[in-house]
Amino acid sequence: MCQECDETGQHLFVMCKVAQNIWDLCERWVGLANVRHESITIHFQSFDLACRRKSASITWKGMWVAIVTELWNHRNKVVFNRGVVNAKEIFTLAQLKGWCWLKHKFKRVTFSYSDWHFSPLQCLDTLD
Amino acid sequence: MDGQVLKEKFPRLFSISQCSESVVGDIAHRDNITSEGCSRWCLGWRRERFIWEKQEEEQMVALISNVRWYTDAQDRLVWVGDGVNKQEYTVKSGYSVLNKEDLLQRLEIYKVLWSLRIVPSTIVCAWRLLLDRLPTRYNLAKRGIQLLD
Repeated sequence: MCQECDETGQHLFVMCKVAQNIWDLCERWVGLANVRHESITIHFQSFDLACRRKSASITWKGMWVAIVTELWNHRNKVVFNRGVVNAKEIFTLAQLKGWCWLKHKFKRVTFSYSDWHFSPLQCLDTLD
Repeated sequence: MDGQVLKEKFPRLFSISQCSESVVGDIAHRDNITSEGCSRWCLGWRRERFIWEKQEEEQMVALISNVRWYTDAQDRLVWVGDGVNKQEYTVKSGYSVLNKEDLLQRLEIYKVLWSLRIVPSTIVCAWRLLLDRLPTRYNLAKRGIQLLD
């Protein structure tokens, strides 16, 4: 998407400045910063909430999947449909997706999208 | 030799050798083979060697000359294995060799991934990414497909 490097999985999802931008947004959203690993598997492994309960940490990994999927969809839009690269859009869609999943897969979800948007950690805490 | 390939032990010699593709039988002097080893080798070189390369060659010849020969036995494949069950292949030793790679760790990741309570089709996307099987430009190019910009 940046048109500067070979489009490998590692570049597209971790190293590229568009990807960096999205992971930045995500960190700012939860207010936690992690070491960013260059390897995709370790990136996935270390994408957790160390200060929270394990179950919350695992649920949180769903956000990783959401971000990755949205990034890939967006990339396809850019490559095949003349889309314009927009990191903020990718992240917002991933946030929305994450909320929809929680809403439908967990019975006890009582929080609204705006709760999720403003304090995701507290929302995750209510799940178990 | 001693768990190390000569090519890696003497990379310089390998790079100037004319017999890098030869098998042992081609370069050992028939007349000099005894059960104690082989004392003469016909090693061909692409060019004159420097002094330090000659020294390396002497080292290497000294190393290979002491190898015992089984002149009457047929060549056969040997399973080097996991270092415990030498020579004989067992499923267990094969399994433990494979496991030495970070396979178990990877399996752990996939277990977490597939246990997530989210839409399966998106897990597939993430799963393909973790396996590096997404059709990125790079992966397509590896298979000979070029995308036009």
